[in-house]
Amino acid sequence: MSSPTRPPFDPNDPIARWLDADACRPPRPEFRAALRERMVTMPIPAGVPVDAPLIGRVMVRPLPTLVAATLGMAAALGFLALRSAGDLQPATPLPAPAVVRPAAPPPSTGEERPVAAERPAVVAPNVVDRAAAPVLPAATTPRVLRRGDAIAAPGAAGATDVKAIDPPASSAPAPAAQAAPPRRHVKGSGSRVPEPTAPPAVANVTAAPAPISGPVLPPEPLEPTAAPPPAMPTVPIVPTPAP
Amino acid sequence: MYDEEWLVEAARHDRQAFGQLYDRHFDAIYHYVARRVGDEALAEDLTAAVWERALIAIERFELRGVPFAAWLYRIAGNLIANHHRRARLVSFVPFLPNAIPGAESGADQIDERTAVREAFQTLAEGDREVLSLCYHAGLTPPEIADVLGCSPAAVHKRLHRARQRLRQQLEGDHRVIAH
Repeated sequence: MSSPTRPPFDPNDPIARWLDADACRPPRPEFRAALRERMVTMPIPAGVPVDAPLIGRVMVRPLPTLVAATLGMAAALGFLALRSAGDLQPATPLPAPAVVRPAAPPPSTGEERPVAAERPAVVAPNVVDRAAAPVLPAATTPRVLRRGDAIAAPGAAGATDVKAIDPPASSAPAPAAQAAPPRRHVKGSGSRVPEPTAPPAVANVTAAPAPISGPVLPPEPLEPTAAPPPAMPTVPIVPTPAP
Repeated sequence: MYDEEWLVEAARHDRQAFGQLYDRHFDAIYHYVARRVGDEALAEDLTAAVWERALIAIERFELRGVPFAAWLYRIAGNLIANHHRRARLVSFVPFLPNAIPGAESGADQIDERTAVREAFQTLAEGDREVLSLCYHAGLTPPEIADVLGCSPAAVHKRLHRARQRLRQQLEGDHRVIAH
C-alpha cells in the first residue's frame, strides 16, 4: 500500500491539481494521541463478536457458551421429564368417592312442581317416563283449576290432569285460548303487551296412575345415616322401704 | 510487506503491535474520511469508529493478498456510506482554505476551489469514492481494486468515467478553465 503523501497521479493532470487544491488540515495531535492511547489500553476482546439485533455487538466465547447451552438444555429436559412423570402418578392418592344414594321419596302431596317433569326417568323410581306414556283420550281433557279449587289426591275418583294453575277467571278455557299466551294490559301504554314467553306453570298432578313403561327400580334400602343412640343404662329402681 | 504481515499477526494478541499499525495508517485514514465527510468533528468520530472496528475485527482479518490499509479503507468506506445513508447528507466540503499549508490566498484560487467542490458534489457516490481513493488517499488502481472489491481494469474504467464527468461539470460552469 502506497503512502498517502506520494501522488499516484501525474502532477500535470488538471483534475489532480483541482482535487489536490482541496487539501485538508492535518488531524489534531491531541485527538490522535488520545485515540492511540485508547486503542493500546483497550482489552483484547475474548470470543467471537456477534451482532445481535437489539443489544448490539456482543462477544461470545465458544466453549463457555456451548457448556452453558448444554447444561441449560439438560436442565430443561429434566424438568419436563419430572413434570410429565408427576402428572401420570400423583403423589397423594385421591380419596374414594363417597357413595351417594337417593333418599326416600317424600310423601306425595298431590302436587308437584313442573320441574319434576324434566327429570330423567331413571333418576327416581317413581317418575313416569312421559315420552312413553300413552296419550290420554279426548274425554280426559285437562281441566283448568282455579284458585281455591280442591285438588283431588292422585288416584282418587274424578281426579284429572291439571295443566294450568292460574287461568283467566272469565270462563272455561277454549283450546285456542290455551294455546295463545295470556295478554297483560300495561297502564298508560294503550296496548296489550304479551306476557313473557315463559311457558305457563303446569301443575303436574297425575290423577290416574299411568302405566310405567320404563324400568322401575325398586327402592333401595336406606342406609342408616347415623348410628343409633346408645341405649341408656338401665338403673334398677330399688323401692325404698317405707319407714 | 512482510513487516506489515508480521505486525498484523502480532496485533491480534498484542496491543503495542496494533499501536504501530495505528501510527502507520492513521493519517491516511483520517484524511480520507475528512475529505469524504467534510467536517472535522465528524471525521474524528468516524476515524475513531474505524479504528475501534478494526481493533475488534482484527481477530478475523485474514491476509489473503489484501493489504491491511485496503481493509481499513473498506471499513472507512462502509462507515461513511452508513453515515450518509442515515443523515442523507452527501457533502464534500473541504476545510478552511487558510489551514491548507502552502496554499495561495488569492481570490482566484478560492473561486477555483469552490468550483471544484461544487462540481465534485454533483458527482455520483461511486465517482466520488473512486476519485477520493485515487487523488486524496493516494492509492494506486490495484490498491483501489482491493478496497472496492473489483478488478484493476474496472477501477481504471471507473476512474476514467469519473474524470470525464468531473471535467464536464467544471467546463460546463465556465468557472474553471481546463489546462
